Amino acid sequence: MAGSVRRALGWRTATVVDSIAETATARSLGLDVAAWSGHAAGQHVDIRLTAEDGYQATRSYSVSSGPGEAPQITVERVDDGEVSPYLVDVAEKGDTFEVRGPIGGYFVWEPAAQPLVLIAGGSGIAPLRAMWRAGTLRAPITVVYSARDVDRLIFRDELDSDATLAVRVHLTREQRPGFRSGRVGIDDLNEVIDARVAPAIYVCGPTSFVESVSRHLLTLDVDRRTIRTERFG
Amino acid sequence: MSHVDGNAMIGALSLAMGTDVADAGGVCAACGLDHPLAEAHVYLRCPGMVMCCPECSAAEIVLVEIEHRLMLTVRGLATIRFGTPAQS
Repeated sequence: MAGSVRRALGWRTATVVDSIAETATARSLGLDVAAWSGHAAGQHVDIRLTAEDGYQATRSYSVSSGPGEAPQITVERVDDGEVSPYLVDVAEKGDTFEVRGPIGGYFVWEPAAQPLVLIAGGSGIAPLRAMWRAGTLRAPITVVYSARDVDRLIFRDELDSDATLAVRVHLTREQRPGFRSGRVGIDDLNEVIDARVAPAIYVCGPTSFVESVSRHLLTLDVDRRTIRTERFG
Repeated sequence: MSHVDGNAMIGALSLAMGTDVADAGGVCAACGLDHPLAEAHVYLRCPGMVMCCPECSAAEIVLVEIEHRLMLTVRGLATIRFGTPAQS
């Protein structure tokens, strides 16, 4: 078993084969990873960059492509970050870096008939995209997505065009017709979650967003075992 | 400094322990909370990674990864439980 863990979790080389500017600050990178064994919706990879002087920085990024699709990560630039500015602004097709994974068994969704509610803040939408792309028509999927303004919305075209998704978008710093204004509140969640049918709920976003949404969900008497959360910085 | 989820440390931790810890749980040695490692709080902006108890914030695991060397300190967990938890 240890041998297989080392193969799966040792560092391998990823080559950038596709690069899509999602917003002014977010980019999706399609990766070619030798012997990629496939991933489950919600898993992540660790990416390690090594500077010329040997300094190394490692960060985790969710896989945003669906199971069965080639691996893709979607990265939001953190201005004082060590890894994301390179991935968003510098990396080009043909570039290589080290990758480890896919990793994770907690924030993972296996397609089922149970209703699915996906709640994202900012680039927390990335692993949730893998989930809706894994979905089947059997499972009703609701997406609640909060971003600062309309220019920060990642996957906007896909969310607009996928008729199988019920989508509600919140803009926290912009008012615009067709969008909800302000943060995701308890009433917003109450509208989309029927605790009696016990939907599977996945929440991903900045720590403060996830904490806030989690507290609201527990106030609504949602069974905490049906909630999976993932925070980033 | 804000934290991320235990998930961010699962890859390096699995490699260090030689087994997949994605579904593993732990019992905090300080306060006794039994929790999935994936739900712990992880701080990344340190020389290495620090996993803290989501309840009392005590440091449970410190892991330093430099090139191909891993150094693991697990003095803050009383128990580590491996394997898939019962499905809810």
